[in-house]
Amino acid sequence: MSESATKQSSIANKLPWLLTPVFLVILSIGIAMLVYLLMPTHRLQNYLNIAFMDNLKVQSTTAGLNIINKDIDTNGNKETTTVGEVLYPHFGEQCATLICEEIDLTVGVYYGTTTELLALGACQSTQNKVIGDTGNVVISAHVNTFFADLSKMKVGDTVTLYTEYGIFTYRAKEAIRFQKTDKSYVTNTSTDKLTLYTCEADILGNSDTRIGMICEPISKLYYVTTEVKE
Amino acid sequence: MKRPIQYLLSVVLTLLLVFSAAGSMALGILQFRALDATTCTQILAEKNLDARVLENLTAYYTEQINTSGIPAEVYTKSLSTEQIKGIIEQSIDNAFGYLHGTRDSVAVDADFSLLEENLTAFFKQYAEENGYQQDKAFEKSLQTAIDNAKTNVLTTADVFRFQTLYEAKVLTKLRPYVPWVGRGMLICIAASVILLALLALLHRKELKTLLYWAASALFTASLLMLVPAAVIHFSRWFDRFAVKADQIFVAVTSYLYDLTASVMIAGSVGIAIAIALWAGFWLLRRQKTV
Repeated sequence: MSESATKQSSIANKLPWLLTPVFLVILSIGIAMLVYLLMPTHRLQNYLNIAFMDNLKVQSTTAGLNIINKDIDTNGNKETTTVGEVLYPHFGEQCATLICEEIDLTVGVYYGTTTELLALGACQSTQNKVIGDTGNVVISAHVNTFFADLSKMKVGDTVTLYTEYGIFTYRAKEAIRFQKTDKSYVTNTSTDKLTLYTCEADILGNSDTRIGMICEPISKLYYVTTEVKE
Repeated sequence: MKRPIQYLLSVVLTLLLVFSAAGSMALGILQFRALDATTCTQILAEKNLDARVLENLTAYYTEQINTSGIPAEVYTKSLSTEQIKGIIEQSIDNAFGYLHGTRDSVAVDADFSLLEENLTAFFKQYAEENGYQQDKAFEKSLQTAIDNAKTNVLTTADVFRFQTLYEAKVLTKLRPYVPWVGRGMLICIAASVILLALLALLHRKELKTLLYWAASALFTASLLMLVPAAVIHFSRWFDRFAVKADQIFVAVTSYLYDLTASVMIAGSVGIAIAIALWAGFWLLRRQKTV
């Protein structure tokens, strides 16, 4: 037998020994894949979601929140009219500056109520009317910060909301006190009013009681825009 | 490989050996690594989980000042890393104790006397300064603040989410299977020994061939374990877990990466042994040929 024939025979003898492990690997992977497909892995996924997927449980209030601070004019020197249109703010945008001189309160009002916005100022509920619209405008803030003196507000005090589109003045009409589960003061109404509220300064801890003031409108003045002038 | 029936039988037995060997390795890792409290306590020490928990609690209480009115210092001076470490260790021991059937609950019993003392002192001082009457409502508010603080500390210190898993009945469902991990491992090892004996019987006239088939089985089993574990490990697959709290994310992912690393080590050792067995087989075969 020639040398090349011997070599060929040797390779032919070795080939099954070399290919068998490859065949075994492919076959085993196939079986393993089949078992994996037949196993109820969706249940494992459910358990993983329960334990480790926080984003599926609570939507972060910070996610997508675009806080816009504005320098709102509180001088009131612009030309105004009693008829005008409100500008709908974006969520997280500063939409007004609230001033009540009697309790020495000046605070920025943000559109939306989140932990982040409450840390910056007072918050206007997005479920109610925007400032200047007819209905219930609801504004809240923390009792330890911006609305610390809200309880000192008396009936007859004046509250002014300065916005980019007008000045809206209210008079404190009725002091209120309600449970946090009571939504009657924060629902929409057909009458024009401003509802300010905060937590009752309970002895520490989160209070379940809310205190506030319902204010009635005195004047609603909208800035005269170029379009209105024309 | 001149006899087809012997070859086919060898392939079938080796295939079974692949899965019994893979099962032995996987269950061994489960038994001695995944279900061992030491794995978690090692992670606790290596990743400074106690300090991370304290940091998280401090940030939380600082953020809560606006709503609770309680300064963060009241809480932070009542807590220490040693205390947090003790709570985490207890939660680990309790969880694994529950899984192994030596305990009936994963609840942690921690000493919060200093926290209670400081909160009470602060409440009383606040009440005196602000003219609050220390009546039943005061006591109720104080108790609520203490209860909330305890719950918050325990929840934050539950870095491996054992309480969450327990409440979601995941641990309860796993518990009956835990004793079967060790038994399963022994069954797989016994099956592997029997399959090796059968292969030896099949190749009794040329016993060195057993080395080849055993190496093939071990190599395939190790590869089956190593490749997925390496893909998960090096692609940082567990990093996609959306766990908000830093200490929980670190604890959980470290635990899971520890397991993938263990699987990779077992797989690599298996492959090394398989190569050695193959080398032995080829050497013996060559000697005979020569």
